[in-house]
Amino acid sequence: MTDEPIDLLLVEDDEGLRETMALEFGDRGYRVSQAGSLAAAQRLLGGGLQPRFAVVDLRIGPDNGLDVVDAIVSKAPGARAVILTGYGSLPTAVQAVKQGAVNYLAKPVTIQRLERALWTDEPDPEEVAVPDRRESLARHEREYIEYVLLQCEGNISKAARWLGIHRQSLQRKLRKFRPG
Amino acid sequence: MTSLVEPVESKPQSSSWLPGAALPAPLSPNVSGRDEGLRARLVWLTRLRWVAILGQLAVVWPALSLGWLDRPLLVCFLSIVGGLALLNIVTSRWVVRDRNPGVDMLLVQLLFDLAALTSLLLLSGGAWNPLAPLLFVHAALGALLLDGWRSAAKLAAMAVSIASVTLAPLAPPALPVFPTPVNVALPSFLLVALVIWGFTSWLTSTLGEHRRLLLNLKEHQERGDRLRAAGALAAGFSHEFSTPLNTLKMRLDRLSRGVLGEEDPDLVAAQKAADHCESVLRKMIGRRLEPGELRMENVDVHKLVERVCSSWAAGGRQPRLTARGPRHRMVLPALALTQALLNLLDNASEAMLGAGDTTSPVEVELDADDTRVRIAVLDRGPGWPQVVLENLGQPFVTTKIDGTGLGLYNAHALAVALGGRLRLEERAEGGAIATFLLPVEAFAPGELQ
Repeated sequence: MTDEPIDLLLVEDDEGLRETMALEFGDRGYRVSQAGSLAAAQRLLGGGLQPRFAVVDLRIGPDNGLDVVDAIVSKAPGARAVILTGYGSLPTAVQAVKQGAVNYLAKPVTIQRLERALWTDEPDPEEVAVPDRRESLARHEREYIEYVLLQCEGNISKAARWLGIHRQSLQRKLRKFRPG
Repeated sequence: MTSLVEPVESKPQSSSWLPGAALPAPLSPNVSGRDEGLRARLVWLTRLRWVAILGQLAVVWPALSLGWLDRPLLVCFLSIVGGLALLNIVTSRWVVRDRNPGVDMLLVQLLFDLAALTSLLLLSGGAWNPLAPLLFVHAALGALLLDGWRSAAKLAAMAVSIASVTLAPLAPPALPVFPTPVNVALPSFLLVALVIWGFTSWLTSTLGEHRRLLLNLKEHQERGDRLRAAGALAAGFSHEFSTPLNTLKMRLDRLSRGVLGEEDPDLVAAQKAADHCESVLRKMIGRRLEPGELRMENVDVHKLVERVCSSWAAGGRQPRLTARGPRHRMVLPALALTQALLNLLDNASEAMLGAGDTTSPVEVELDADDTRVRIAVLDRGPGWPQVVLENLGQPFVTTKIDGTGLGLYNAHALAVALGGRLRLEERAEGGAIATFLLPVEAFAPGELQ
C-alpha cells in the first residue's frame, strides 16, 4: 500500500454520475478532483493539478470532451485519459485516440471496468493488476484510535470511554499497533 | 434528359453521429433548380430550332413555285437558314461543355432567331406572307423562356420586327395576287396554328418532366434529412439515457457491496431491471463500442483477411479468397475491421440465400499496391437495393425485416475514419460488390504514441 495520493480528474456534467464516480474512486484510494465543464477542468489544470488519470465524458453540456483531452495532454502530459460516451461513434473514437486518450468506453460502464481501463490498454482483460488502494478497516481503525488518543492527551482510560470500548480492549489494540 | 442525381459512392461527409456535434451538411448534388431549368430550356430551344430550319427548307419549293420568293433571292434565303443551322450546332456543342448557361444567353439566342425569321419574311412578302403569323410564336417563346426585363425586351424586339415586315419599303413586291387566295391562306393559317400548339405542348411537357426530377431530388434530400435527424435523435437519446442509467447501476452496485448485501431480493430485482434497460439501449443503438474494438494494432492485412475468411462460414458457404500484390502491415483497429468484414460477408450470404441460392460461394478479393489496399466482397445475389445505394453513409437504412441498418453504416464509418472509402457496385453478371479501399499511408506506425 502506497501513501502517495493518486490524482484523478473527473470531467462530467451530470452531477449524479459525477458524484457517484467520485465516491467509488475515492473509496478505491484515488484523490478525486471534479469538474462539471470544460472551463472548470481548465481552471483545475491551470491551477497546477497534475492528475495521473482522467475520466472525461465526450459531451459535457455544450462542451466537447476532446477539448478537455487537449488541455490534459498539454497541461499534464503523461496523464492517462479515458473517454466516456453514451453512443459509440467509431470516427470519434479514432479521433480521441489520435488526440491522446488511452481508452474509449460506452456508458453504462461498471466502476471495475472503468478503473481497469485507466491502468491498461488491454481490451477487456480478465485480470488486471489494479493496485489495491482501498483503505483497510485496520488502517482506519488505527488512525482513528491514534486521533482519539491525541485528543485525550494520551489518557487511555479517557480514550476508552470515548470509543465506548473496554479499557483492556483498547490496550490490546494498542499493543498490536506498537509492538514492544 | 441527362440524369441530375450523381451516383452515390461513399461521400466522406462529416457524419460524426455525436449529440452536440453539428448535423452534417445535407447531401446536395451540385445543382440549383434555376440553373438546371435554364439549361433544360436552352437544350429544348436548340431542338426547336432544328425543327424550324427543316420547316424553312421545306417551304422553299412552294414559295418559289407560288412566286412568294424570287429566284435571285434564293441564295440570300438559304444563307440565312444556313446561319441558323450554324448557330444551332455551335450552341449544342457549347451547352454540352458548359453546365451553367446564363439567362442572357437565352435572350441573345431568341433575338437571333427573331432576326432570322424577320429577314426571311422580308425576302418573301413581309407581312403578307401567309406564314407571317409565325412571328407570333416568338412572342410566346419570349414569355415562356424568359422573365423580367428580358421578356419585355423580347416583346420590344417583336414590335420592331412586326413593324419592319409590315412597313418595309425594302420588301420586294412579292405579291402577284392580293388578297391571298383561300387555298393558300387556309393551309397557312392552319399550319401556323399547328406550329404554335405543337411547340407549346412540347415545351410544357419538357418543363414538366424537369419539375418532376426536381421534386424527386427534393424528396431524396428530405429523406436524407429525416434519416440524419433520426440518427441524431438516437445518438442524443442514447447519451441522455445512458448517463443516469450509469448512475443507477453504479449505486445499485454500491448497495450490493454495502449494507444490503448481494442477496437482498429487492436489490437483485432492481439490478436485473437496470440490466434490462441497458440491453434495450444497446439493441436500439445496435452497436456496442468496446475498448478493444478501437485498439490499434500493427497487422498484416493479408493475414487478417485470411483469418476472417477461414473462420467465417455461414450456411455451409465458404468464402473464396483471391489475394494479389505486396503484403502490407498497417496500423488498424483490427477488431473493428474484422467485424466490418464479417458484416459484409453476412450481407453477401443473406442476399444469395434470399434469392434461393445456397451453393454459390462468396468471393473475397484482396489486392494491394504501394498506395492502397482493396478488400472486396462479391456475391451473386440480386444486387443492392436502390434505397441502400442511395443512402450509403446514413444509418438505419435497411430492407431486411429485422435489420438495424447499421452494418453497412459502420463499415462505411470505419473506412472513412481510416481515410479510405467503402464502395458499393453492381456486378456485370448480376450481384453486389462491397469494396473497402484503404490508403496504405493512413496510419503510419509513428503517428500513435
